[in-house]
Amino acid sequence: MSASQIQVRVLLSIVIALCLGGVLIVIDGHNPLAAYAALLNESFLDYWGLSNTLVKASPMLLAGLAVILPLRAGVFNIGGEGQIYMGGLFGAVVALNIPDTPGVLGLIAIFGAAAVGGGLWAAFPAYLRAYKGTNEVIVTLLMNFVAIHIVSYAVSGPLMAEGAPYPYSEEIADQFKLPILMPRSDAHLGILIGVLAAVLLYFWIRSTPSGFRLDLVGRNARAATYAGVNAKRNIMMSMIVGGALAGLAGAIEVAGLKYRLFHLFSDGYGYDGIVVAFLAALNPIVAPVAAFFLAGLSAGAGTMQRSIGVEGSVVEAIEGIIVICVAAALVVRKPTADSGWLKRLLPQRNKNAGGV
Amino acid sequence: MAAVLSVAEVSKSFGAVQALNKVTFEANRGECIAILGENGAGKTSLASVLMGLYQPDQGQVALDGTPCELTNPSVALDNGIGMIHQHFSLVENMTALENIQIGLPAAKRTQRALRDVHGICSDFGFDVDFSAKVEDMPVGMKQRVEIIKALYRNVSILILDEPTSVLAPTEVQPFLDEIRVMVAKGLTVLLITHKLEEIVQAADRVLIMRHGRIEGDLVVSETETHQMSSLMMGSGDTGADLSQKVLKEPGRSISNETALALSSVSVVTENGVRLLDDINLEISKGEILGVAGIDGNGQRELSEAICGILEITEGVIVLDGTDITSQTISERIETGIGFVPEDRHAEGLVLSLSVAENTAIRTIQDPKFKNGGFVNRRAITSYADDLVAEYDIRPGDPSLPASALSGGNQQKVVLGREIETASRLLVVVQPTKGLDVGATRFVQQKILEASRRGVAVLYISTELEHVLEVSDRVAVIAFGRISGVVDPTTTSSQEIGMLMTASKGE
Repeated sequence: MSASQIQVRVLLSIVIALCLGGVLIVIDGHNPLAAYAALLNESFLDYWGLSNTLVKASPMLLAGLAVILPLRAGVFNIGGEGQIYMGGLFGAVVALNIPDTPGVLGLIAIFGAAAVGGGLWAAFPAYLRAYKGTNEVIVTLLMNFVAIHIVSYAVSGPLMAEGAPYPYSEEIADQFKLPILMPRSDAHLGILIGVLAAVLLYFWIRSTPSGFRLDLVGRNARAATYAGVNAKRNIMMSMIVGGALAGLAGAIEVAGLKYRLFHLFSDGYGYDGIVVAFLAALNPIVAPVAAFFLAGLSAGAGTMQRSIGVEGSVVEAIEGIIVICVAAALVVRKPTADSGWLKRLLPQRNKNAGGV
Repeated sequence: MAAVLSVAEVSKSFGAVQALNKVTFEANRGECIAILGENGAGKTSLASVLMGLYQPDQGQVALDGTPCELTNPSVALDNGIGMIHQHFSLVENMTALENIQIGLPAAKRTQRALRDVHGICSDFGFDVDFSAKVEDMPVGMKQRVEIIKALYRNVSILILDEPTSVLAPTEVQPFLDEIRVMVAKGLTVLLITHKLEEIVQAADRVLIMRHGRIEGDLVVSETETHQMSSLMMGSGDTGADLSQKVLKEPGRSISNETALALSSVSVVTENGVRLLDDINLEISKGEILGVAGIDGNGQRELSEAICGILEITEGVIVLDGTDITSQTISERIETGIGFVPEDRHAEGLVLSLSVAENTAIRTIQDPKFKNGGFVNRRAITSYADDLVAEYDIRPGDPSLPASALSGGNQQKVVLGREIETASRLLVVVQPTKGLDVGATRFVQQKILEASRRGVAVLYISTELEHVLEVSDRVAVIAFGRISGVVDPTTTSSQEIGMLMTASKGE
């Protein structure tokens, strides 16, 4: 399948999923067209709705890239959530402790620290996977919980703001807050960081020898090894860079939206990243679109509930249906005369009728 | 008394290939029959028919004089035919006893059953710890568990497929002795092998197969080993006849400068199996050294050791005066080693990438594919265009994914890439696999051209004729050792056959 064929398939599968979701909305007793219209209106066309969508899309995009890159090298990073938490923690510690520096320098330090935090958190499962053969899905998944609790401990102990009613840190200095993109809204510069990362990743994989080699490992690790590529090192690198990207998402939440480190500050963005990765068919340049769409859907859950009365759980179900349809679109092959059910239906050509 | 097993005029073909051609023989109780033959001679096809995996096109199999339709392996097992494959079918994390009883109705898994198993062991003199897990056992012990598993199911005919190939050297003799014990107890053993030494030690009769036919059914004690090997190889042609279509120009000169030198190279597994055993080889610049041998005798390991994929346990590899023993794969590629691996799908190509990208996977760091540090896709495409034209790769569109090509054309992509990039050494394994006659000729010409450029070539193939056609010298590999180096113009198939089956210490 060529890249464009994949994109067409993904689009079609989303349409199919929305149709199936429409059935759910009907069962729920509402008009699906009205519900989708409200969703479109409020998530993407309305100024405040759009800003809300962008706020959600930023971490989702980075978390999506954190899944895409390792998967291009053949490893599945389920640890985006934990890496977001560690990125948030590292970023917040730096933000709360660096002396009074100009905002840009400070932001670079904060985001650098967040990348280190996320990258370190990914390095451990990456090492186990590459050099010890341990299943990375399990290790990254379990380390999510560890990271979440480390942050909870930090903000209810050493980092807890004085007199805080529940676990959160002090507020970061004003000059370290990410600039706002859409005036008077919450929409901050984070989305641009994500888009920049997506573009860089795209060019890295497509146009540099090291990206080409990383991609080889994911496509056929054995052939890559025979071609002189160090598969283990590429697995390590992809996971660490992926973790660093998720770490940036953590810093975005801290420096762009909440301005403090909260406990449980990420509401599953790491897992949303997995959905983004598949929606984008593992193509980094498509990831921003996928994240924007998913964020809109997620932001629209509340809208559909408020304006039409569709249950929130129905919207979650629709998200699930989208994931299943997209995953199916990526693996199901177009039936040809040589394969699958079509072969069984078509009359068999006589094998002895000549030729090989 | 009727023979335990009689096979009458059994034929089986796959497309145009006649795997079995009117195979006829009988086996008696308490007899070990060896089945000897080259690759593709029909040994495994015969075993598969007996196991019910293949249905013969013609002919009949009878057990104790009664014709039998062996429609699937469980029917074969019910009729007392069991087979031990080279790759065991044991569950590693279960105990020996659990493995022996696996799949049987619960009624058979009782204390009495345990006594039965112990009975079998004492009958046959097997010493097995039944409570040990299979994963903790040495290979020889696992094999014993497989055999007990078959005996426990009342097998009267046991087929062993190259049973000693997985064993450590010290395990071979006890295993052959066990075969004799089983035979003495009245079992019929069919031993598929290409090791003459084992046939002499363990078998009563030997069936020699060639091109799907039984070429000889001989009593081992009355037969000389060279008789067996020459029947296996076919008529006693000399190399000159075999390679009458020799492609080399007469009197071609080969530099006396050594390109590749292997000294005392060995690869030993954790179990002590010597995959490569003290290999000493030299290839001069511009020379083609053929490596002949029966499949699975160390050819793959030899090629992988030279190209850096397999780490060697002992020895030194030198290329053009530089010790490359500890160089990485990519360093060796940069040095100018081209490698056509045996399995093009798994090792040579990335099927989901385009043909063009596949021509660059080993040399993406080459300046000709780069443009200021970035991948120059246009350069890759134009390079691939040339390669596609030069090697007549069809369809001639390098933007297609490699998976869209036929096997022969995929092979040409790998061959073209490696032949064109090898500047010092070219290692090719089974280069003509899947190619038709014309393409085979063409590839051989290309390899000769490379040698004329001064590239040393290691041409590893199980197709003896092809090896003789292109090689300046032919080394024969057997059981991980080089058993001899011969001149292709003066050797005979008999000589090579002896070397291919030569045991150690000759």
